[in-house]
Amino acid sequence: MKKLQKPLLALGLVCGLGVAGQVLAQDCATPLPIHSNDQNLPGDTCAAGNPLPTYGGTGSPQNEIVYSFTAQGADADVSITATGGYAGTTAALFLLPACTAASDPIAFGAAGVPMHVGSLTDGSVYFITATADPGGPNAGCGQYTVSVAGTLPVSLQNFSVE
Amino acid sequence: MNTKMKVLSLALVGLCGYAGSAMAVCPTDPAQPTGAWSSKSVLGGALTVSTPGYETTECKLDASITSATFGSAYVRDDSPASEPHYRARFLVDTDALTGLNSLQSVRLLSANTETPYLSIGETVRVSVFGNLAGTAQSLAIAAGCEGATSNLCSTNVPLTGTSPHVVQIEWIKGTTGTINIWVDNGVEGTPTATLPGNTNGWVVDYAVLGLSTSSPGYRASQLNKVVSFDQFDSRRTTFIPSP
Repeated sequence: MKKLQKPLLALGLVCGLGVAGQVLAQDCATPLPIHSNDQNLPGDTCAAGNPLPTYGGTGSPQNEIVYSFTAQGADADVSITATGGYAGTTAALFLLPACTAASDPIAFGAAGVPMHVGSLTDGSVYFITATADPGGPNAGCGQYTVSVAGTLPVSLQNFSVE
Repeated sequence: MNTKMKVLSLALVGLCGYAGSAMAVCPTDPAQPTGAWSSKSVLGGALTVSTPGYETTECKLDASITSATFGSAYVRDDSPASEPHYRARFLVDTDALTGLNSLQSVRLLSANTETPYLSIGETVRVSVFGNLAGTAQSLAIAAGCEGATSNLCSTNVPLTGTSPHVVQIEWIKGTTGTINIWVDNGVEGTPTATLPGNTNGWVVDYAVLGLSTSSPGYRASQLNKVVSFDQFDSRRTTFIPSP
């Protein structure tokens, strides 16, 4: 029983941090988790910061919210849907191999054009940013939902001890 | 000090074809001894001088990336020397970069320090990239700014209309430093964009003009496409009007 309690406690802490993270963490130091088949993850880049002022040579003064995952057989389409804001611009997703301003993005998606995530290195950490079109207004931002169709890392859907 | 830079600047303008100048004979090589630039670097790219230039000049500098795995093609000006105030103006034609999107970026100009501060060697840099749809281009301007996120000040300026575009940057060192950018805008008092920040840790020791730091997406889609440059001019402080 004791052996079971420790993993459960650890899981509870992870879940607790994850929930707290949904509200507070959205930058490179504390990115939000994203998993296989996540549906309708909400976000508001107008209330976020701009932790990545550039994506390599692509300027990104628009605010962004940062997600991360450890690739394990990643093969997914990640979509973003604008639910408000984004005046004069388009909601966008970028896939980055590192969360630094010097990193060139690997892929991008936009509203109506899912971003394919695949051919990644298993065990490596990747980052997805939810932002606005870098070619749009520098202050472009809005509210959105992100959904995953397919595999990023496998997520724990259910756990029980009987 | 200011005279020295301006003299070299005129030589560089002459390289790219200064209308009415006695130097308006196109050199075969943009770098010394035939050209005015201190040196050049061509690695997975091409760098040629062609004629005519823009706005009645005799010749221009054409740069392209030719390797899908790496690539740069640029000239270098070593005339700056620990400059605390630096201006550069040039014409650039990016019209050949059709379909340029947000995965595709390449650096056009950087003014650099020999002693990187906070691991940043580019005091100020200018890149071109495209929007998501690949239907519009913008310049990304970034400069070392201590205390800012990633220690960078940055902004984007859209490129509208046809090339060539006239770009001028002004970088001022200071704890309350400034970077001003003019794009197709010849009015000194109203820069297209201004970036305030702590630039005190950097100086300008040399400048690089051409194509460098191309993204993988750029190399995948823009190989062999020519970006042309003309009328480069750099000074310490005074605004650089059209010749």
